[in-house]
Amino acid sequence: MRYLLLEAIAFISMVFTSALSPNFTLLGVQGDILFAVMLAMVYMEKRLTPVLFAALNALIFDALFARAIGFYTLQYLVAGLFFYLMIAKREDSFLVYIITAEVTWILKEVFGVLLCMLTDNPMNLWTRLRVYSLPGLVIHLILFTVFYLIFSRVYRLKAIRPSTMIDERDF
Amino acid sequence: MNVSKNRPMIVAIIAIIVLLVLVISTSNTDSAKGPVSIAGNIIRPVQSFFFGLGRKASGNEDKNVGTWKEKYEKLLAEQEKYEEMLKNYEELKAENDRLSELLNYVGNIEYDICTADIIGTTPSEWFNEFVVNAGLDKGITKDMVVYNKDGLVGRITYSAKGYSRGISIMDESSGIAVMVERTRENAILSPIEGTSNELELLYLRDNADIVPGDVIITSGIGGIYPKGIQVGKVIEVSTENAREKKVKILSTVDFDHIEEVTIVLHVYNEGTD
Repeated sequence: MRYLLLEAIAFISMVFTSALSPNFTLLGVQGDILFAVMLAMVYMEKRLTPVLFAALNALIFDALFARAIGFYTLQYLVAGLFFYLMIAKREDSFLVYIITAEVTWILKEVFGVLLCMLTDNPMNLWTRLRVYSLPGLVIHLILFTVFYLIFSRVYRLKAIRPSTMIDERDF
Repeated sequence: MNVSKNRPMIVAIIAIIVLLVLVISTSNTDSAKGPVSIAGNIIRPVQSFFFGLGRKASGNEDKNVGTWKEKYEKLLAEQEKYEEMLKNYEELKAENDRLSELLNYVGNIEYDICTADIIGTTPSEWFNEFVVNAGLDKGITKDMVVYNKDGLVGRITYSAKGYSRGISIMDESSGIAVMVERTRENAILSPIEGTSNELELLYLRDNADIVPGDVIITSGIGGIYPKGIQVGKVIEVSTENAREKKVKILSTVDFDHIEEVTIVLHVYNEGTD
């Protein structure tokens, strides 16, 4: 049941990111809903499983949009892994979550530029940071907060919590 | 943290290694027949539905489209205008035919076209690319030219059964051979970073005659875009130094509100076309 819910959430987030986000921008930047959902879920359960589900659905981005298979999936995997390692052993703190999530967003962007270079697609790191990544901190701050609030309630449901997480934490 | 006991961690690390190999090996390749194409076709209807929904919700639909009644009245008015234009056109055509014959000019060969809806754009704007709901089944292949009623949109870069992906002229990797329609000055058109519809002319002759309002068209050089497709209009000419002119172009296509495109079902070849 838990895995079904994780897949459903990741799939809906993926559809929203690819189909709705391009039409709703802030400072010219599209919000990455799948990314924000993934980080919120990793933070809630302190496990890497949501990253795998997000990456699985990011493969569909690769199928439709990418110039190389794995271009999008790798970004979610690497950023998710980084966020998990940063957050796994820390005490719960909204501030730490937000700061780590914002740093992860920048890391994802820098990694994306590296992938562009690796796949022989011209991309200037400074231009990308100036035009997209840094203004993107604003829309993602909103998304991280919204999904934090949503998932702090969703994770009260036993069906989505990992089986080992038997104590009902005060989400 | 004991990695060996953390199965998701092991899966993630293996997936990263495998995907890195895939990214490098499939970079800029045409993998139309394979799992990629199948996955793309599964998600295409969902993507198309939600993308359209998003357009409506955000108000990003074509602003000219009103109610059916308004459209009908507008069309009636336009019909009258075009009937008048048609009379002039007949005269001009007859004159053009006479002059072409005189010059032994072969004229443009006409090609089949295919119209398609844009059903998606690249997430996170990594590339200026778009996905259309027509592919190999409609005869669309790589390097076919894409345009709409306003001018040049781009070209097809990948085609699968049921959908295709195209690169817009606003992509950083895009460089188009163009000319100034009025003076026939040749140059290369390149997008200005960080803008959605502004471009600049490169390699323009130092003393080139160019003024704001001049129309820029494709020159046919380079082998992808045939000659004569409108690309944009000059909006600014600045001479920062005596040796170099900076010419800013505004694309005639509104890339933020583009919905339908036309694809020429022929790959242009500079040598033979």
